[in-house]
Amino acid sequence: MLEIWWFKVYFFVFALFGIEFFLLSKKTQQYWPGQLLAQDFHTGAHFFHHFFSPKIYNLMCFLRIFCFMGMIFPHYLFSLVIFFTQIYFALRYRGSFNGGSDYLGLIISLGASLILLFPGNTLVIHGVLYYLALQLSLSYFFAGLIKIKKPLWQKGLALPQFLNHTIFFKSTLIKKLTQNTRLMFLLSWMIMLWEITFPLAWLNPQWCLISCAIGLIFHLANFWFFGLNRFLLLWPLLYPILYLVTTKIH
Amino acid sequence: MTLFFAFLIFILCLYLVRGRTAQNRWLFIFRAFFPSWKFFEDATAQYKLYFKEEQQEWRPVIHLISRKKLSLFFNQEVNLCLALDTMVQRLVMDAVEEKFDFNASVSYELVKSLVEEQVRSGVFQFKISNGIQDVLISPEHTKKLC
Repeated sequence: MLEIWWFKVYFFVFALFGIEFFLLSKKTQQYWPGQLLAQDFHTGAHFFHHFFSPKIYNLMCFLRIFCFMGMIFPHYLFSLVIFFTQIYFALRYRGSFNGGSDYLGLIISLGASLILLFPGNTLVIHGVLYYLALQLSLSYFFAGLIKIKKPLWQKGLALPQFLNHTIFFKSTLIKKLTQNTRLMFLLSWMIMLWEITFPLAWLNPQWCLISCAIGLIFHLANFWFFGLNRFLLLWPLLYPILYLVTTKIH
Repeated sequence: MTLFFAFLIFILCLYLVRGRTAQNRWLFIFRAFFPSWKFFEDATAQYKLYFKEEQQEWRPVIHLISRKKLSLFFNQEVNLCLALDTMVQRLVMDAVEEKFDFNASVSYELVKSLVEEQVRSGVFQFKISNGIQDVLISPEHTKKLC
């Protein structure tokens, strides 16, 4: 079953996001004013106006940060707080704050809550572990499948376009990398093939380890080039679960 | 094995629901429950927001930033920029893909107020470009001096 250290990392990562949300509190009120967001809801606009107020937002941040306690006492209540605050933040930012990482965050917190809520129920635990491992595999598989259908990705032209349009000041390293068309072509195909073949990790625990190691390098690169820290913290959180599932199958 | 196939059916149902999220306001807001996992899909659809004041040139609204130490743990500046990019993309989706009266939409008001933050006072305009062409140009707005 899932080791206690996994839950410690889980609570640490999600509480950390709470600090990030809190540090963004002022900017959030400025760029996503609750009064305006409430207009998205034809019914209950008055409720949502208050629900999105700075007070409630900060309360959600503090509740989330308090979940650091889960590292000492891995109780389901802390995990449920993470799950519900995850929904709140998704609503607060009109469906998504940080794209796919929000979606995976919601799925992980739901899974962790269920495991902690039913600690003795092997059916629930196995169900959750399979579900999380499946979502992890699908996330890479669909990302690869979509890319491989695109002519720009097939020709290796999409990757340099993305690298040239990050939110960071362009470095000389990126300039040199993107000018090397052969390297870009090779890297594009390596990414697509690794993503699309990721579900093969289910077939063999050793293959699973190799796929996950490549995944870690992939997310490190994404973090360095695009600043996607949440992706680096969340996706590898599911690697031990996938490994656990594959070892159970074989 | 039965459990595994039950999961596959469950996932398939989720993706069928996901296909409808763009048409339904409520499903769109709760789209986090139905992930599509489409990352780095379309290199040609990278929208950038620009603004100009009266006779000046178009200038970007979201500025480039530099990497920070400890950004693995505290990356709020980058994540804010990414969230603002999502806000711009949502307006394009409202305006171009759904073709409803986007001038009155929440997305439009959010982007307008984001631009307003950069404007000192007077008449301003904003546009969204995909690098090849402008996909949206706003009418002229006026920011009053506070």
